[in-house]
Amino acid sequence: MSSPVITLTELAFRVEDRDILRGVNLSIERGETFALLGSNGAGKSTLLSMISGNQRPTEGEAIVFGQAPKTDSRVSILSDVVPLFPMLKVKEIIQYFDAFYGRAPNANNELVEVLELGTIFNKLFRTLSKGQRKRVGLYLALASKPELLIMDEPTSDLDPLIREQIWKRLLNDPDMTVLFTTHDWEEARAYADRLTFIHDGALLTQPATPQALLTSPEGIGARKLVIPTTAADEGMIADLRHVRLEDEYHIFADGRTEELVSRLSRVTLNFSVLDSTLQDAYQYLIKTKTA
Amino acid sequence: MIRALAISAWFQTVIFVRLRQAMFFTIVFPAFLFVVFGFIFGTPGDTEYYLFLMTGVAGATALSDGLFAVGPVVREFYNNGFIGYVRQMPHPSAHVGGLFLSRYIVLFVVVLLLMLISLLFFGATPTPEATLRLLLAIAVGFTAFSIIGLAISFIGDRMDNGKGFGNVLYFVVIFTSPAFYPIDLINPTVARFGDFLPLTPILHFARNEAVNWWPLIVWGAVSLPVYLYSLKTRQIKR
Amino acid sequence: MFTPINFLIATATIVVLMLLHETAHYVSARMMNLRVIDFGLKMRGAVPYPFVEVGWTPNARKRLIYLMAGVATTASLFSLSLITSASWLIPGIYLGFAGQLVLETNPVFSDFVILQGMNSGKGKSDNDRMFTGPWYVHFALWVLLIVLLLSPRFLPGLLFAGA
Repeated sequence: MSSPVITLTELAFRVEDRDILRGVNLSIERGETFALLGSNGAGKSTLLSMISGNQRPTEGEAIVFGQAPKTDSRVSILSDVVPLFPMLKVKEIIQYFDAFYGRAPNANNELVEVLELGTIFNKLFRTLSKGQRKRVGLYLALASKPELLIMDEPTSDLDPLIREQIWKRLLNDPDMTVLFTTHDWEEARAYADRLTFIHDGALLTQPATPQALLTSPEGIGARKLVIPTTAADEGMIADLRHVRLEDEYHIFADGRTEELVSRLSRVTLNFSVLDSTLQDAYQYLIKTKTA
Repeated sequence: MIRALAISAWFQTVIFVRLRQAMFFTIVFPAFLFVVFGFIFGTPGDTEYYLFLMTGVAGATALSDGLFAVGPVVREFYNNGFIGYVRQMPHPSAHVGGLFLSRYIVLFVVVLLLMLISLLFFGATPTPEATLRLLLAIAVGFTAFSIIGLAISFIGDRMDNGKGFGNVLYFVVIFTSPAFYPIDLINPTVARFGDFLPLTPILHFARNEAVNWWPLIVWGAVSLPVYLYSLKTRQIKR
Repeated sequence: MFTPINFLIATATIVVLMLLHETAHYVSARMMNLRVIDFGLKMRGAVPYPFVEVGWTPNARKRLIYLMAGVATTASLFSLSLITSASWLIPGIYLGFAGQLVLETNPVFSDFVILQGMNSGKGKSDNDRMFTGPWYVHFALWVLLIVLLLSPRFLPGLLFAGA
């Protein structure tokens, strides 16, 4: 097996007295689609900027393509906000960056089609919506045919149809390594080969496939019971894997759904049985790791 | 690299042309000053005055463009994440290089426009040597004023008053320099003060008078490290 | 023409003309039964200037007359000063009239700008209208006016031979 595209070893980042990242170890293989999930302020964007070489770790190291991150034509980066020239038209921005990459000044037709850029070619960038700006950013990131694509919230503000097309037609290249963050955890579940959770600057778990994160011995199982906090008190379920989210208890059935249903129905009928989500796994890991 | 620089300069010029306010202050306003001052204070046949005024207007334009058109734009490149965005791409320095190149081109257009006005309205044409001197003075002046503007912008970013300081500097420099009137004859004391400011040597050079370059060198030598230091130590805005 | 004494006379002339300009707004508003909300002196920076403020009228003709009353008064008085020789006997008075006319017709904050603002419909600020085609026409005419009024090659040259 070839060496990983990205290797992070005991990576840490401190600003003044605050730990933004702590002891991050991670390796991402060639061709993988890897999702980094976490709540706002967990350290996702900072971690991406360490890997991009925009910021340097205060401890540990980041290795990308066998060396410290630096300007590399094999790497494309799409940040959350796409900072381009407000007073240029979309087609001019594309010409501008084509020249920098030494590409022939011809638009890539498949990219234009999937990203639906044809209709906004003649619009000034400042008049575009957030989603349209994202699409231009994706075009620029993909036009250079990168081997590693790093994206912060690539599909936020995009409508679901375009989003699906982007994943299926543009990001499915088996030679391209994709590392991304997203607010839509179902998107990560659908398209990531592996993922990991980050909370308070540290990884909560070893990277794994979405399925494994739910069903591994450490995981929470495929099904859960949801009960309003008014219908049960926590003492009753203390022995069960569960988390409290606002005014609901989420109890993880862990293969014992029938047994739990019968146990709870003796107390209340005010509950529902649902599929577990990555969000549940995240919350449960935070609870167990920070307890 | 050359293609990237050329494309960047071209599109920076396109952006400039689309900014109606920038077009006015860089192209139309100097022409306005030249026409109005030329007609009011000039005497037909007094070529010396018209050429004096032309170099003054061109110098003042280089000063305002240097102070206000480069520093704030480059600072914005940093603040909105553009520099971070293009740092991974090939030729990152060509973006700022293109900005400079486009400004030189625009300023040369301004000088040509002033020469045209001078010819059409006042019948005064500079010699080829004087023209070359003026273009060179504008290029050197603009470069030096840009470095000062960069330093002011990046310090001002921390103190939130860069624009205010830039404005004060601009007006003090204009009124104490021989840009629009022979300040030496009107008020020698003010003129001595103006000699320490960066526009005066540029004007003297453009007019083929005795030049004391030191003030300009000192201004540049102070501004450049200030700019580079501010850049290096600036906090990432989040 | 540009001597200290002339500048002094010009300044005094401008002060008088400003008061007459606002008086013309006031009188025209009262004659057309427009509601005068306020009038008096305001400060713009350190410079006091007279002003009149009236209620909105949907009548475009009344708005036009009200807004143009000031500059029409200045222009009429200027003509009168030329006919009665006041202007060309005392260059300072001429300079005051010229300065005031240039001020009253400027493309940035004059009554003409307010008039254009009222006629160009809603949703457009003064900034939106600046630096557009029509604005440049106004600007060019204004530059022409400055040159005609102040260049020794034109009107002052005719009035003050050898000035």
